[in-house]
Amino acid sequence: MRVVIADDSMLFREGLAGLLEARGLTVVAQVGDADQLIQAVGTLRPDLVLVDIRMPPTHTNEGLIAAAQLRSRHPYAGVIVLSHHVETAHAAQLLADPPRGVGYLLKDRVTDLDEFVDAIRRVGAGGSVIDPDIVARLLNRMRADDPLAALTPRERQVLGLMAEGRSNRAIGGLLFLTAKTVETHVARIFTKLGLPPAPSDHRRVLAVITYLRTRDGSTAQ
Amino acid sequence: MGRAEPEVAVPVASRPAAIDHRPGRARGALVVWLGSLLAAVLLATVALRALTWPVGPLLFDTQVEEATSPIAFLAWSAVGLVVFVFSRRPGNRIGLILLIAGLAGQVWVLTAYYAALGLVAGRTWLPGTGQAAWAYTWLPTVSFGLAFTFLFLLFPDGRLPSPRWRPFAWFAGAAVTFLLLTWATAPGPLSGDFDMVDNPAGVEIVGRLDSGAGWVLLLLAILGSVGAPFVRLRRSSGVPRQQLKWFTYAGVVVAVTWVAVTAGSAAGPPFTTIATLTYPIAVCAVPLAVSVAIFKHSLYDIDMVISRTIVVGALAVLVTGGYVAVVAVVGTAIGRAGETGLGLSVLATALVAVAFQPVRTRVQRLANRLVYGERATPYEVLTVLARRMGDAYAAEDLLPHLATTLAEGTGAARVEVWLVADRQLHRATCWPPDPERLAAPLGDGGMPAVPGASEVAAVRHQGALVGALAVTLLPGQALRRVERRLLDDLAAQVGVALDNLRLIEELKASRLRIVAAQDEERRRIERDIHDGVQQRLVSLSLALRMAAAGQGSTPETAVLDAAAAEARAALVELRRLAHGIHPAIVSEGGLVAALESLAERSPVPAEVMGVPLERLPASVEVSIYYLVAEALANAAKHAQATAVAIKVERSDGRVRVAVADDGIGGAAPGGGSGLTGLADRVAALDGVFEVDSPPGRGTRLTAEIPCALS
Repeated sequence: MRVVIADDSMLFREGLAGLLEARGLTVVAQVGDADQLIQAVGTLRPDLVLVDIRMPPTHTNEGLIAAAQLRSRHPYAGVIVLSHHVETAHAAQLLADPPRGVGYLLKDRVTDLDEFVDAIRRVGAGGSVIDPDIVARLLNRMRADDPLAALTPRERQVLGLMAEGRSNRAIGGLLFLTAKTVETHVARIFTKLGLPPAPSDHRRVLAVITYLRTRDGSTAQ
Repeated sequence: MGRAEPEVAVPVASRPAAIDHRPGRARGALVVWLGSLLAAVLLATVALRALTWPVGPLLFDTQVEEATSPIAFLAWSAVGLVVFVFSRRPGNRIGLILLIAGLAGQVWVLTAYYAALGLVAGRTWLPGTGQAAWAYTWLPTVSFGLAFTFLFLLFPDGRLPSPRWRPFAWFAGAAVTFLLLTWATAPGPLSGDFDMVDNPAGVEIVGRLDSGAGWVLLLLAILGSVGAPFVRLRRSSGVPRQQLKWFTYAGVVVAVTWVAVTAGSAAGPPFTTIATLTYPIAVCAVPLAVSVAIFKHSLYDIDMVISRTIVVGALAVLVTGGYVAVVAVVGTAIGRAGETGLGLSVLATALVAVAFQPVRTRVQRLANRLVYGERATPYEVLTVLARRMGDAYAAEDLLPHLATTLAEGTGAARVEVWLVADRQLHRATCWPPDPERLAAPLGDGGMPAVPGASEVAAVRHQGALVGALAVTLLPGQALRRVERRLLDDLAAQVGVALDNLRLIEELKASRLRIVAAQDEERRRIERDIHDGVQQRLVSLSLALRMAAAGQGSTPETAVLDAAAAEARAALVELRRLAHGIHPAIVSEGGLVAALESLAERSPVPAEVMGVPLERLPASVEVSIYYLVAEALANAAKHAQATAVAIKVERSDGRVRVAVADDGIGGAAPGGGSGLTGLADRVAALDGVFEVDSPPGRGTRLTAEIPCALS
């Protein structure tokens, strides 16, 4: 898999590139800002882009804007946005684009290499990956008359993993359940929450995240 | 006039009547057609008059009047046509009235000559002379009926002065219609010059109605209508007032001329000719004034015209009277006025000339007072200001008071108060009010250079320049000595007050700068942590993982993994710290995302409602964020609340935040809590902060902060 890394810290880029190469991925370019990134993706056509949310010149959300541009111009390339702090609004913004090959992770996730490389492969294959911190925040958000109260602890677990972008098979693997049992849980969760069944994994992420953000009539978009 | 135009409700006050420059072929064609019609009527009139010349004066007592009247009528209809077609909506009705009144007058003259040609000059074969004679009897009613009622009622905006005038307008319309009907349908011989013809439209029943009653009704309608412009004059200001002055001026000119003509006609032949010549010309003044009022009111200063007219008129009367008096008195004394005529005339002229200059000055002052209004004496002005300074010392109130006072005292067209700040002059207030912010450089030698001002007085406090009072006068006016002294006295009095205002403004500005600097500092620290320590810790963890990955499972690997986990824990802690210092989400995602993010982390269920989607100034956004964060923390820590509602709305350049919980209440802004800091922060942004926390009934924090869109 061919990867481009965009981050304004050379130290971080070099370190990450070394680790990814060691895991059998090919880092075809390392760039320091959004303009260089878009140029590199245009010429090198990578399978995946890793981009820091804060880059020059304003160090605010350049990475997020670049991600949106890349996903409309080069939809074949998956994009993972890295940030030192994750915000649900950003996740929703990324998922709102055609939900294909997108990830949003805390920057420290790169140190958990197995998980991180797995996320890269999933996004490269067109899946969606959402940081567990965000999912936890959404699940734990206190609501008056919360419909989530109707879920069993196991169903809550399954819902959280779905929101992170895991497939049924992966959920089964993590929770030591058979694929069939997971399917039953998923169907029951969708019924309890009144969600229509989602046809594919990444649509399911969008549906679940949107649901978690807006449940019980809050005005969040 | 079958001219279809979409009826659009336009607030008249906000749209002064002016020339409509929209191109339109229909408009052009209308002008050509109607213009040709007016010209044709005039040509036909001239031709008919030539044919009826042997008959002698027909319509008026003299040939001169007969020659000038059609021109006066043409002036009405032509101006009416132009106003009707070219002015924007409000002028249309005025144009229509002028056009109909003028055209009716023109046709009236035409019918008179045509009827005379057939009935008096013996061209009996002409068709329709009876009808022409009939039209001749009632057409003037249309003309002056409209001119003396609805023109007065509707000028300048085509609407009544107020809805209360509506019944009167109906009455005026009914009076004109009634008179018109009784005239047009009176049976038997036509009244006036053509009594050889019976009324072709005579109706017996209507004829029995007394046409004297019609005159009385019309007279009442006219008296009431003439009041309308004066009522408007008292209420109006700005452009409509100038327009009304033009119109009223013309009306007064016509009235005065009419009186002069009536009086002059009795005086004998030379006066009669002058009088009869003057009157139709004076009548032209009305359409001329209307067109100036509608199209060019900003070009000429009517106040000056009126003032000069009064001066010239009064002087003419005085000079003539003085001359006659001198000649009469001295002539009688000498007893032989006839023989010493030349010397006497020279003497009289010299006396009048000597008296002329002081009289002119007096009259001019009187005229100015009539036109520009009464002025307060300087002593009154100072007393009033002193009282106002005692009453209202708020910065917002004092300066407008000062400007108004100065305007009353000097009769200036414009008064400005300027304050010194940042080594520049800033306009703090203006009379009449003008919200535009102006700045001007400080002049050389300590005298402030205020652009456009006629007179400037520097305001000093303890020797230092703190501001300036600037007065702009009407063209042709100058400050009298006493008025200039008033300006200087005021400038000397308000030194302390202006210096205080300047200090308050500086204090406000510096407080705002401190808040902005604090925000900036926090942002910088957060970024330093982000770009420095956080980034380095991630790289450190990466390096530790790499080192560990190279080995198998050895004791060294375990140490490396533990070190990596420690670095990771440090990152999590650092993240929390950085987020507390400055919420990056505010500048990255805006207030919506930031408040949602706060609500997500809140241990007490919280809902965000109605957040404005447009970006606000950074300091306002950050302050709202801190306020909501503090309120949520209080709700969780002290209030034992079970729900919090966060509401943000933006209107009229202000943003309003309210955070309400259902907890135990009793929160006090004083007790060293974060609330005090919030109150200071909001106050620095010129906002209002309130804590409403009655025991047992929840806590409600509200803030209202002025903000322009960023």
